[in-house]
Amino acid sequence: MIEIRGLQKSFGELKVLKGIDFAVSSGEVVCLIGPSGSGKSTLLRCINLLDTPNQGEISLEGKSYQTLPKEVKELRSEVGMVFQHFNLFPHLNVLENVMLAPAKVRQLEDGPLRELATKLLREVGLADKAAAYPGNLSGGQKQRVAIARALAMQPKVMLFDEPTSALDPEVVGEVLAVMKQLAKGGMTMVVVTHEMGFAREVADRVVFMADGKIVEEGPAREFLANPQTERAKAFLGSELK
Amino acid sequence: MLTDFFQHLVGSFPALLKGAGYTVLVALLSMGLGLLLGLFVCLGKISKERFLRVLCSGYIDVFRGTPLLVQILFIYFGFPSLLQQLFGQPFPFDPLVAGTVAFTLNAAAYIAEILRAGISSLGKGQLEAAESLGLSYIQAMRFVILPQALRRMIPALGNEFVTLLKDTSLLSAIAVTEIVKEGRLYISRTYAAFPTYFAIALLYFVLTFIATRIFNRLEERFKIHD
Ligand SMILES: Nc1ncnc2c1ncn2[C@@H]1O[C@H](COP(=O)(O)OP(=O)(O)OP(=O)(O)O)[C@@H](O)[C@H]1O
Ligand SMILES: [Mg+2]
Repeated sequence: MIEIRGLQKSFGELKVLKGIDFAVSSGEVVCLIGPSGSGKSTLLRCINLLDTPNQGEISLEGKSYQTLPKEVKELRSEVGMVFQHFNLFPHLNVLENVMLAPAKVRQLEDGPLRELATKLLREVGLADKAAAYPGNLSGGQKQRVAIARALAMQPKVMLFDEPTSALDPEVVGEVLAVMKQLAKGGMTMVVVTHEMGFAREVADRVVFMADGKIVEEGPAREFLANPQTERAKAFLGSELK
Repeated sequence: MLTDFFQHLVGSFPALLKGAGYTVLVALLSMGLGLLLGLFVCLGKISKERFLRVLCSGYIDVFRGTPLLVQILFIYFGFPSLLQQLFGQPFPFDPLVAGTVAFTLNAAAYIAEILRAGISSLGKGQLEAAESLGLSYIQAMRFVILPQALRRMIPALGNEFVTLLKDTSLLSAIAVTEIVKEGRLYISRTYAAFPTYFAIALLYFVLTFIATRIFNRLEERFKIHD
């Protein structure tokens, strides 16, 4: 589904990604873990070209994407992204947030689009909040709207960058539940997270990054129970504390 | 004495009110056109094209760094005389048009900066979220960034409009019969300087007071609840 080869990214002098090879197959759920600053967000942002790689190839379903504006736009419309800080559009209500992109990018007609948006809001448990504005929602509700908004583009892949890190502990569960349900439905997902419980339970594979490289990866349960490299052991040890 | 005062206050009013028509007309026109031009200048200043950035920064610096009166005189007297020298025939310029052009160009520079501040106050997250959904840069600006920036900028735009209203008094220098000019004409007929200038001040105050109220209403109406 996604294939990344030889990805390198620097910010000025700082080399953040030092040659990443990474593939995700259709329907797979991959959790991306690693210490702060290891380049997890940058990798995710390169996948939909929010950050422009210095080198390497990104392909989705066998099609390789360059950084031409038209291709970038096409790639982004096929890849959904959920941010740590939600980034909902505060001047639009919940339904409008969900409907904006498919209306403008896919030119869906209002009727079917409204149906799709309402269905998605029902799935994330927020059908009754369609007319509310983001400012009046809790963090957990905002993040569930953000998920519905990304899904409304009917993406082939969903990327999550620490979707629960900015949330109060008591609402983390409701967001993880929505993600779990999405995974069960067969969505291809790449999730940067510190929620090891979620990784163990939902992920098919865990990828551990440090210093801009993939250090170790493996089937979720196996890897988390029995990491091979010292760095992964140290990291998991500190995370579980 | 007091009856004199009121007599002239009332007597000067029809002429002043007629002048106020021009004042409001120029202020509204230059605010509207200035918003449009300011939008493009702002987009140019934040664009990735170096050339556009330099051009638009230069524009803003020049119009904010020189007195409005000089800009008005330049456009009304300076340009026609240059054209006359170049083409050897007179280029009469209607003072009202010249004034509106000067105010529009000037307002655009200030509005561009107001908008830029509004856009940068949104942070990068909004543009990234919009682009991550597949919206183009232009669509993201049109549907996500500008609607928010404009709403946040209503108070600053209100200030700009009030400034515009007051600054139209400068147009008396190029013989537009706005409030001050009408007042001076009345004084030259009656020598009633005190009541007339009092009436002029009062009229400006009423105009800016109303404008402020309208912008406060707009701010309330378009408030973003976040
Ligand atoms: N736009 C940028 N400009 C300059 N440096 C950046 C930029 N974005 C990220 N970096 C740097 O790149 C490095 C990797 O950042 P990245 O956000 O990918 O890490 P991360 O693994 O997601 O960390 P965290 O767990 O803290 O989110 C960091 O050192 C960061 O300071
Ligand atoms: Mg990160």
